[in-house]
Amino acid sequence: MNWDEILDSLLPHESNESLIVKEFAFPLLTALGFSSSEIIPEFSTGNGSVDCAARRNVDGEPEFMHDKLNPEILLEAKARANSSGTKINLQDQFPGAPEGTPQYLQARKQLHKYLMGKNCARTQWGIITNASHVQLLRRHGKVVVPTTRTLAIDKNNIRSIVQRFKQHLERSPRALTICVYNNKGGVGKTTTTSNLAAILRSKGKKVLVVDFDSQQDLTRSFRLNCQGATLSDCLKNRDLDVREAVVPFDVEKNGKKFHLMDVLPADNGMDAFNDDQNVNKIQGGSRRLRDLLSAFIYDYDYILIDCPTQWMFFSQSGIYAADVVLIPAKHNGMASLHNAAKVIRSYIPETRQNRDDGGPIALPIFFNGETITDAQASVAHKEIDRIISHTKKEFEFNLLPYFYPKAVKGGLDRTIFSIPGYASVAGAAFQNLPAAFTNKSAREQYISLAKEYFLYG
Amino acid sequence: MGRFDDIGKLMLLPLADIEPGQEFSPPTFMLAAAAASLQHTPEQRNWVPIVVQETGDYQYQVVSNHFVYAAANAADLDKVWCIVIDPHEDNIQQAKILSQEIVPKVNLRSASREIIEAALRYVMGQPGSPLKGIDLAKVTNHLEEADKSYWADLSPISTLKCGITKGKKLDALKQVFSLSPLAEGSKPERQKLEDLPTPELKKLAKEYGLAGYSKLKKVELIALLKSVPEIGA
Repeated sequence: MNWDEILDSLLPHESNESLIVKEFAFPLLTALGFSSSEIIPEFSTGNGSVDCAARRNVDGEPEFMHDKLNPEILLEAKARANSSGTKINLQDQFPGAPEGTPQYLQARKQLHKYLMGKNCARTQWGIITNASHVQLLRRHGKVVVPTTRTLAIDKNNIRSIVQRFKQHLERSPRALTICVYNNKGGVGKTTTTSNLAAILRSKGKKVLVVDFDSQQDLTRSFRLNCQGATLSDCLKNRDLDVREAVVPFDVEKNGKKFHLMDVLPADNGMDAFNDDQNVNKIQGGSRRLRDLLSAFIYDYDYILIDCPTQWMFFSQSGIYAADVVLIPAKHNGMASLHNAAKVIRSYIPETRQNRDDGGPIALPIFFNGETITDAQASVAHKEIDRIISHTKKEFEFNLLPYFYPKAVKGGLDRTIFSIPGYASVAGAAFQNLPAAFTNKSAREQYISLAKEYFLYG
Repeated sequence: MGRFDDIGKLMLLPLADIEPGQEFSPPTFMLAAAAASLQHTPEQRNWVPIVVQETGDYQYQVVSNHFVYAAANAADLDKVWCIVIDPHEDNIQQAKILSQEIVPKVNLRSASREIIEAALRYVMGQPGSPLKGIDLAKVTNHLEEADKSYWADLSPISTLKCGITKGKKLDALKQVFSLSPLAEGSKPERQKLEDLPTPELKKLAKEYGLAGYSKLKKVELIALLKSVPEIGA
């Protein structure tokens, strides 16, 4: 591929999107290993048509041109400038736009929509580009997460960008890593983790739960004991294999033993890391957990991390290790709303700065554990409206999609997903089983949560 | 739009030539206030037009924006600004939906989970809704997961065991859900058998005058019923 020629031929203010598709997107997909008969322009996703879609043909299976289903990758192209000459900037970070320029956010939203189309049920990858910037994103169920930052393209780095994308495409991770976190306690982090894990398992997913809290709440509620190497050993000693620290959590149902999930339990040795002095003994510090968990990303569908409230080693590690952060909040706990806002506008972006893959990202908050009356909802909405406008003014950060994900331009739908409380959910902690496993109505609630955020179709 | 018709045009029509479209009862104070607002405007011009269809020569009928029509009458206007629409059934429906005079229905056969949930939320939130006590998550899950491909209408919802019973609750759902017509060649009866509880199957067997069904298991009952030409075919 003669990239110098290709990049030289494009005008710096090229405003013709179809030219970018033809002169840049096609060569890019070709360089990624797709032949011309494996690329469909204007592909109909079932949710609108995307600029390009590509899938390698496999012997004995229908050709992509033929079945026009489940491309491996979608590509949404933009021009470099609009017709009046104003630059289209696709940066995911920009002064005054900590989460990316409006054009970038718009393009990402569009790609997300296409990836959810019914003809893309098994599509795993997406690219956004305008030949000046390019970003690779990964799709997992209903979630789309960046795999790279938006990279500025030039003649010197285009080959290495292609190489990097190729490596990602060749070995797609199987897992989505979810950290359940709120900087305010008592919002149901552990309950959410264990119940969500049980539901994902019941939907046929392979799940690993990581108890990354020295209080060991989750480990204790499942009555698990560490065997062999412990998680704290693995943090300190790089020679140990973290796979050996995994403990199966089996339950009995109707007299039959049943493997519910795998757990990486917390252990007594973890207490020491509440002291900064001891964290220094961990190579990589709060980046280490992510490294340890990378041993599992090709084996599990979901890795769920439960971590404590304080923004210290454990929770920093949990967020650093995550693809997405799921934030439970309480409608009647103003502190939990303010803290959720802080996690989204401060902790997560700060963590993102230290990673080179554009993650982690926050999922919209949900209300956990109580039935909400209309009057209470209106009080909560007022407070959230205040938080949103304050955060926009003070930090140039738009929290709206994280609090009111169903809002559209001109239509402010304030619906926030919520799980009503049940005595059974809290009580289940004493039964050593997630409520979603034993109680029918709790099960429905958590199915609903899993489908709202994670499960596609 | 043809050269000699008025479709799509904004026209100043005599109020007397326009017939009301449907019964409409806005709160009296709103009507009075709206009328006052119209009278207060220079030339008494209504800036939001009434949507009308042509029913004959110099005869019109209100399609939507009934409130404007009622206010114009209350204000005793001689002439009002109207848009004449193409009186196709779909266009009339669309005008009513866009002016929020009717609640648009969601096709349950193809609706996404998000839309099903949002529609249920809407019904539950209405004052005095019979759905107040239902479990939103449960109903959403069951409605989404049910195989609706052979449903001829919404009544099978009451067999989903999610708290929606026949009568008020089911009727409340009919406000927001519809079903697109069944595809040609689908066989509702035959598919339905598997979903019916055993006593229902026995009742069916009785209706068709079959013998020896009382001791059969469900699978055998279905097989027996399918041997009836009218059901099995």
